[in-house]
Amino acid sequence: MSIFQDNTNVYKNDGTWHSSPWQPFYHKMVSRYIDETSGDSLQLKMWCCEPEWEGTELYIEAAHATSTGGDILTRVSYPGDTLANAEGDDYKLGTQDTGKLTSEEAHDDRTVKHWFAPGVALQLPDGTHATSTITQTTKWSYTPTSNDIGEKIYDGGVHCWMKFPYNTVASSSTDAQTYVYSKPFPMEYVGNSDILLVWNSFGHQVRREVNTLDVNTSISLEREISYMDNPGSGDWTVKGAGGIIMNDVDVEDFTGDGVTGVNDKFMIRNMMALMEGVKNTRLKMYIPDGSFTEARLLRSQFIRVSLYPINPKS
Amino acid sequence: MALFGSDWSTYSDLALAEATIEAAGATDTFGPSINGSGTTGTMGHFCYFEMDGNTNTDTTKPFDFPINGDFTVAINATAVNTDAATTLDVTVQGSVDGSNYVDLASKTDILQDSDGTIDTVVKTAVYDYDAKGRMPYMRLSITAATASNSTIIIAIIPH
Repeated sequence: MSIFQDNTNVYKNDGTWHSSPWQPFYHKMVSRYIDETSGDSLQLKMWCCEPEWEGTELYIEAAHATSTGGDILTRVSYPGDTLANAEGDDYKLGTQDTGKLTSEEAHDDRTVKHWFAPGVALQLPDGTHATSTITQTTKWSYTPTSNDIGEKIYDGGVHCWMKFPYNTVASSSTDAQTYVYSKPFPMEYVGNSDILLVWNSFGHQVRREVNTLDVNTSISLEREISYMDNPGSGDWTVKGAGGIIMNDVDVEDFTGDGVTGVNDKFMIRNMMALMEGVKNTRLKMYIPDGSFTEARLLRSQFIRVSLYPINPKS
Repeated sequence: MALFGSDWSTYSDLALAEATIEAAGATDTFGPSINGSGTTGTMGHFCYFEMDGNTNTDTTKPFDFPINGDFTVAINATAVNTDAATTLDVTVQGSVDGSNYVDLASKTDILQDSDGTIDTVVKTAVYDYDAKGRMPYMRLSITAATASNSTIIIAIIPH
């Protein structure tokens, strides 16, 4: 059940890495600060909770970008400073546009984080300035050790990582880049019980791409079912009643109630009922072509999805 | 958001005669254990909740007992005469990582402003496990409409 089972490059832009396998446990998050290896003096707070990253050097690079008026993380990659497995979408330290999110929510005195790889997150120091912290190319290197990964917790749920779509439905990108799917639910763990779904259970601070102006950014999340034993891509259909979990939800607007809109931790929960009578269930996530011109989301974003079976049937 | 609840204790460890909670600190707990007298019940769990004189949203500590079904929430379980008549918004929250919480049951499910003041009154609600579910960490979120400095008892009685 490797998080790299679909592709060793989690940043691959052809849509081959959508999600990690479901696991009936998780590892507690452990943090530590790392110093820059070159450039401006700035510590980052790093978090890791996936043992498969142990011994792999994660590389982070930042710069001040005059064109976008701010300090920006310009690249994350692994192992080390390699372009083989890299994401170059810009993570802006400040606001992305008037009225939109700032990175302050992912400062190290908060609980939300920037999960830039499945199981690896960073937080900026509290007080990091949006435009004057980074004056030159600045680099960090983080190689998780076994001490950086917390204890294994069997909490009764199953958990996976999902990557946000590479592009919007209206972008003319391929289906694989547009629609992101979870692996089928592990029925041996969740059975045909009702399931409490927690979207973004590890508190990722959702960000959109850096230079979009006055446009909406939303997510739709659907429950797809199949009556086939080994369903192919054409064997899935959206569950009728209760199949729409998130419908064109502005996931940057964190003033919601956690049911119809994301709450202040960017989380949503949903009770999935009527699980009986299907062979397979999975999640489908995409950025819909709504009534506004939709912006895509930042590409180096991974969210934790957790499922808790309720009333397990013996 | 701040934490103003004491550790959770079993309800059998609460002796009413000693539960002079108005004078208690938020982190105090009361003994003795079951001793044949003064015991108000053997089911459920309680904590002291200090309403800290403001109207911010505060939370209890996460439950340290399992949730496997419905449970009753009793707010101001000993009907303390609070120093200010206030209403409360109360929600049940859940978390996977112990730091990022989401509402499982909203204030309309548990307790809200329109339900009236808690002054000298016990307010109760039932958490619907089938409809709302459970998570590894669960707690109550409490927001007072009027500033009060009283300390109340909150009880959770699993069914």
